[in-house]
Amino acid sequence: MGTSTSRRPPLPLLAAAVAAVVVMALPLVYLVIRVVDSGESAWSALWRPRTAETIATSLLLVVLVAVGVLILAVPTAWLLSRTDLPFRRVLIVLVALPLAVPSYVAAYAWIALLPGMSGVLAAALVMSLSTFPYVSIPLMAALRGLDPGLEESARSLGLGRAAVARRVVLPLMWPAAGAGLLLAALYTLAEFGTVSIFRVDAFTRVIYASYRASFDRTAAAVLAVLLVLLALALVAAEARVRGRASRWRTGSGAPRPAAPIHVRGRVRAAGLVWMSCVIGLSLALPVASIIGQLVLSRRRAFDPEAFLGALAGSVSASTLGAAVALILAIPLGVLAARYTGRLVRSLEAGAFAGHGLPGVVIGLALVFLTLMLLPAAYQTLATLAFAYAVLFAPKAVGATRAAVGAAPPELESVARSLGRGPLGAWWQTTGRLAWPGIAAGGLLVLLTAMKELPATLMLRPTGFETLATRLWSRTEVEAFGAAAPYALALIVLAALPAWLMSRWLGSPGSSGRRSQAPRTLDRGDAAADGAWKGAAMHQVKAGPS
Amino acid sequence: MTGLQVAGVGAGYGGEPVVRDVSFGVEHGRLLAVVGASGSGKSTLLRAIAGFIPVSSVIIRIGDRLVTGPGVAISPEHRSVGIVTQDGSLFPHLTVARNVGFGLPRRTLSDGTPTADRVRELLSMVGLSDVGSRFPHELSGGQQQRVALARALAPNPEAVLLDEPFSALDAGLRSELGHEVRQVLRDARTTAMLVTHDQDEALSLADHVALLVDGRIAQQGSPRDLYERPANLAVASFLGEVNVLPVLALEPDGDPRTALGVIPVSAPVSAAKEVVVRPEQVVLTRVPAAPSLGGQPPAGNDTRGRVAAIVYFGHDSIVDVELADRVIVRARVLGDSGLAVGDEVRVSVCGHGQPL
Repeated sequence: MGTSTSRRPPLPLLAAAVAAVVVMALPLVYLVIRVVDSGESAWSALWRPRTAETIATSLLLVVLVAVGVLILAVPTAWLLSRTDLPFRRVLIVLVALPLAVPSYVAAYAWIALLPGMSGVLAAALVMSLSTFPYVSIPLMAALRGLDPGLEESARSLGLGRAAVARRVVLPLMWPAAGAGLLLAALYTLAEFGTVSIFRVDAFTRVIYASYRASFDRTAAAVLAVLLVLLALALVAAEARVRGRASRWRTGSGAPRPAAPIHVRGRVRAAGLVWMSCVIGLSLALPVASIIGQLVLSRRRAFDPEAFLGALAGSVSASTLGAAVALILAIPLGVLAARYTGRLVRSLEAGAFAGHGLPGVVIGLALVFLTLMLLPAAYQTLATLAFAYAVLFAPKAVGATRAAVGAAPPELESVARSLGRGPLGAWWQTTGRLAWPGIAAGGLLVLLTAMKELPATLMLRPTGFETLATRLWSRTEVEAFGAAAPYALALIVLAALPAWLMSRWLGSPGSSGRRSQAPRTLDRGDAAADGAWKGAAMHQVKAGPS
Repeated sequence: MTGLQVAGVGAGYGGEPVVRDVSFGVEHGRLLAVVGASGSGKSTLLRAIAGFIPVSSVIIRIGDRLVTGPGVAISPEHRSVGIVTQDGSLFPHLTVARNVGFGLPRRTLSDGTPTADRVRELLSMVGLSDVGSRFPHELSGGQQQRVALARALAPNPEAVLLDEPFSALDAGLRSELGHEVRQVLRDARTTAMLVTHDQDEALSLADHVALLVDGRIAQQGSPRDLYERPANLAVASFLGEVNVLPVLALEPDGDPRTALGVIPVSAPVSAAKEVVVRPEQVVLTRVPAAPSLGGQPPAGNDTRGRVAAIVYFGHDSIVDVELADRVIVRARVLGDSGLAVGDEVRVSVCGHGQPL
């Protein structure tokens, strides 16, 4: 429901949006300045063999994860969207839930079970298991939304089932799968906790190590800039692939659903075994391992005071971060929902480019920034909240855009014609309808920020602990039992948005197509619904951690 | 030579059959229209013929080949039928030319012609020579349907099945494209079955019309047969507006007498309760002394009435006339009727009525 009005956006709104993008870009800009300023030493850091090794390791990890994700997601999506496999409705919810387990929590659960695990294969396994829903969910939606007329036309033109799959279904599924695959790659590149736990010298771990060894911060900055460039390339590629998919839509957009393929006997049994393996490894095993640790440690290691302190730390920093994120996001979201034009589009693209920025990069940039410009702000709660806002504001922008876009702009005109001023009309119509969606975006930022690890490690005040940092420090010293309560708490927190998302994706008839009108009658609900839809794809997953 | 023959379909999705018992045939190269209200089972019938839904106790022949029958169930890709769906179902990831050539070998046809030549020929046949390199989403709805037809015709199928192919288009475009498609099918000498809910489309395009009601064929025949000699009131009123006149008495020669006087029928009847007369058969003449509208009334009838309502459509007008005993008769008059509400008119009937 993108509304294109020919009106120019009001100047205060435009100014606020520009300011928000500038503020969000500030840390990165400073990072680049810092690298350019270091001149010769940055140049030599770039050509060190370590740099090439880091790039090679990260790319190897990304490729392995991509392969793993495809192996996990393709059969899963096909079974759940095109066959009449039993328990499909439950299974659809269960295969979305790995998104609720932050990758580093899953990594902790695996290493607590198998303390010898390490290396790039271990990291690739855990990352694949926790990111495959990025492909399986859009793939399921695409398979369900595929007009059966296409397959029938191809059959009538003389193609057998296999040829139809190869020449029609696969090419049409590729954009959905490709966009999801690029997202999985983006999160793999940005992931800090998992690669550190398995001691894989990928970008994030090397950057963090260089930063800790404080004599080598230029090398850290150089690697961080390289990482950002890679991440931005992935974001751009993802937007391209997604854009192609939306262009391909023809026809009236309301095809009848395809008749499911009946699976019987051995095929059905194999399908159920496959689903059990996928859910077992991605969900049941991590959760069972954590609960096992809790039971084994028998409260010996549980320190309620430390736990409550960490919970309070998580809540306070994240709430503050969500508030700042909303302040940055609302002007951008309103602008993007209600106005068009080149400036508006580029502001929106600028804000969107920030999604999936590695936390370790923003952490490093803000360390430099505060130390240079405002030493008093170094390692304060305010800086930490600002980092959260920069990292996760894109989620709030998406939610605001969707929520405001779902409120019909005609209502504002009607309110104006009935005698309200511009602000009053906005507040009583669009504002009233959109606020649940905007608030949902804020909540999403809050819940995501609670899971953030590397930026928290780098920017937190001395002695300040969150659930994530506690889990991290306990895991580092292999106190797996003591880490278990934090792992469990993080899963519960992360499960909230995933639960809401799977409710949306699992609702009958909803295939995730954007063109689909919200099924709710109440417009306020529709706005909230829109926000979750906007939020659903990129945004539920733990940010880079 | 038979183009398409179907006998006794019991087709449906899972539960109750949607198509119950249907028998029809169409000669090679002719166009059959299956017309019916939505939910009457016509699309199911089409999908059963194309081989996409299993059917029970049926015989389907396409050309001279049995494709469905006892122990025979040819898969869709081996039936040699092309389909054109409601929105064309063009492959969105392929260019128009690749769409049209989809059912053809990559490079050369079996007779040695390059595939590209055949594609060009097909595109020019549907009047779209210059869009081969575009993508489907860059075409209008009407162009997409033409490409879909070219794609269906490319492998020279025995028959083409068209499933409401014009229903997503604007009214003006619909009839224009319909006649173009008719011509293309005629030139290609392909048997075709058109499924539609639009009676004008069926009557104006088809050689043979079958009217489907609740999964059964209510009547089939030439468009003229169905329109002028409907078997029952349901058929008569599905295909157009009707005046239903109760029979008051039978004349000695078998013509019924009604509120509009004696109405000649094509075949004398012994017992009929009602006579159906189309509004365009009703002739109105203003009283007193005005030139009659739409032809000379037969002498001897002197039914009179008063104009109760007029609806003006430009190309014609609908005039409701109230007769003496409160019977309302509807007349369709070309252009403006020249009448006003309250005018007294003489009402007569031109041509034959259909007794039911």
